[in-house]
Amino acid sequence: MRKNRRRYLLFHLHREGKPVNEKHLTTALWMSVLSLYGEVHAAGSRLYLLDFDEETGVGVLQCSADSLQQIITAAVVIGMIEDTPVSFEPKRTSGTIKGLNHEISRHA
Amino acid sequence: MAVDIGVNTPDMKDIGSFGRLAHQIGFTGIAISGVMDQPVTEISEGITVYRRVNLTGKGINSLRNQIQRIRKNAIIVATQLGSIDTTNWAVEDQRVDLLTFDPSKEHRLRETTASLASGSATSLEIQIAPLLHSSGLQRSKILKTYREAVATALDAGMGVVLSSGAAYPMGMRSPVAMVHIGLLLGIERTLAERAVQELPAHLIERSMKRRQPEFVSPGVEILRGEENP
Repeated sequence: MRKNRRRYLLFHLHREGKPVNEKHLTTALWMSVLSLYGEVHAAGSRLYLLDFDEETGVGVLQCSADSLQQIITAAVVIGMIEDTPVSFEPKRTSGTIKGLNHEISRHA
Repeated sequence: MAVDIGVNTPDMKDIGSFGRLAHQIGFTGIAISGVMDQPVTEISEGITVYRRVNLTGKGINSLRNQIQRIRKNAIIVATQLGSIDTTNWAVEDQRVDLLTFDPSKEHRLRETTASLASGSATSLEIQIAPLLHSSGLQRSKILKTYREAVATALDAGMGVVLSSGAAYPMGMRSPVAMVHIGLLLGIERTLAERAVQELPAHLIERSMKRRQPEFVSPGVEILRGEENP
């Protein structure tokens, strides 16, 4: 059986107003995937928010390689999180977290 | 060079905020409708702001009068999809850059309109704002309308442009994010990248060329000899 490949996405969540916390962002991501692609896809996405800096808005999320495209699209259409207008910007994707380290330090 | 050609702000004061975010997310320019006097303005954020005009008349005469008045002072001229007569007349006019439409209205893009637009290089504009402000069934209906329009346009060879339609800065999305929305609308990746990165910049370039005194019509310009080699 083929192992499920993972993908890591470095992103920047731009915001206007109070910082968005990790829990609210995770919920917003899941709700958006669920709304746009449905329960089956959401269940198979293996979506995890690995890291998120509430102040800078820079974070890393992990998902299955097959659902990366849909996860990014679902994140991009999020317009508001807990009354804070946001704009999700995908920065870079990688097959390993190590591959993102240089970019993470650049955005930190 | 990526330009968001569909920013709507009623207030000049907001231009700085739009410019800052546009710069952060990777745009080099934005086209704003409504508030600008000058066709082109450079702002301190390193962004070029272009004047856009949305034609609003219902009849052909009204549109014709507006175009004559505003074309020289606007970089982007857009008209909304409406009745067949006015829409077909507008897309055939080479002074109109964009055909945009409101997904909540009943008008749909026809194959004949798309063919006429294709011949005169008028592009279909898809604004992503309605997708960000809706969810569930309402968003599903908007997606359906947008996908049908995009498919009709691409089949007829009409260009498709993606813009934010943002009324506030956070309504903007980065060029990469816009490409993903293009994929959601059923556009192939290369065409989606073209719809965000190339075509808007091409429309701006074409319009800037028209403003030069040497320009006569597309493909025809005055060349001077010895006086101005």
